[in-house]
Amino acid sequence: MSRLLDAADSTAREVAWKAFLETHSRLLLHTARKLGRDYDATMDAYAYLLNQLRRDDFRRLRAYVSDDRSKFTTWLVVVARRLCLDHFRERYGRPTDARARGGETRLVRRQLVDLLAEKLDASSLTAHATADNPEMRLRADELNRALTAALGALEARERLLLKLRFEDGLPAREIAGIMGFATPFHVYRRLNTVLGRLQAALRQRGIEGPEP
Amino acid sequence: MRHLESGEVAAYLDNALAPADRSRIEAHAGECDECRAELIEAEWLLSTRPRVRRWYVPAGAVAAAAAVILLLWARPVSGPARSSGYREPVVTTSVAPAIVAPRGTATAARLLVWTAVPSADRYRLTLFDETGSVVWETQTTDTTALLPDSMRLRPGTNYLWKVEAQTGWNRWVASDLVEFSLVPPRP
Repeated sequence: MSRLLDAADSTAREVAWKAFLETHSRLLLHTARKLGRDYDATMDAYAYLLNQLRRDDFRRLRAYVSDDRSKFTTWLVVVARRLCLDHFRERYGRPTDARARGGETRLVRRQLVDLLAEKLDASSLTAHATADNPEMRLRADELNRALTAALGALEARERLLLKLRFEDGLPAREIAGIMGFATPFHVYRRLNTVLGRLQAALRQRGIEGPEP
Repeated sequence: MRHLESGEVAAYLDNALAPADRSRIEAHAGECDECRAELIEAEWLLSTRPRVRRWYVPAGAVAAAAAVILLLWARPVSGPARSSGYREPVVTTSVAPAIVAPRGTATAARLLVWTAVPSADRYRLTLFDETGSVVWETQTTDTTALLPDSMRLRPGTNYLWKVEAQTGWNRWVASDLVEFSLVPPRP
């Protein structure tokens, strides 16, 4: 990339740009394809991406040189994804799933509550079991409050782990890749530890089981 | 709430951050759906990216292969010549699509079928008459194409057709050119 950014003249710059594309265009196209709806949208996004990378004397590419903590390909994928998203939002607007997301979050939160309640042998405290029973509903609310407090006491990394697993529904293999766990086994082990700590925290707050 | 910068996302995914920075990013990602989605998608893109396949042979194996070849040169070789154990690095290429039907003598030819090519974005089909003129062309993402009703093939006339698969930016891989003709109707 230094040949591209330090090119003395336009001819040298074009040669260097061609070499850059030969090396990285598959990765850029891969990114555009993931976000594109169809072939034409993908190609439009790819063309937009190349244009943006070239713009203002390769301003975006120069930003990597000043912040080289990561590998260039990792950085390029992140930047390319953002540019493609900008392009698609400009064309098609933002996805309007914010309200649905709220409903999803509640559903996933209930799944975590159900899981913990099951482990505490408090399955009768789950939402579907308390629908017609005011006393059980109170206990379920208590469980939710205790859970919120217990989640707040976790480390940021552990909260992220739970979000990726229960809210985003990712398999352990993908979580391992994102968070830097050595193997999926390490993800399961950490999850079990965190869930165990949550159960202990709930017991400390008086959530022992279904009996009042 | 400030979203994560590109450099922060990339450095996090590459495990290149100091513990304090890592913890800060994890705290943010735990609360911010957008940034967390970015981490998820970027990691997926990186783990599924196309790779260039190369052949690497350790130096010792190269020397051993060269020694074997030198020894073999000392005696006459009756079979076909063998290539050395060392190959130039190669770039992965796509398999070409293969024509399934129609080919040879066919009773019907409205539906044209070919084999799929992994990671092909689309296919371009070209039908020629026996003079080599293009009589029909179409593009599709499927591995079949239906001749339009307006297109009438003449029985007993030879036609040729081929399919090209697009496997990358301006990159096409073509099938063989295959000939077929429709069986003339019985008198």
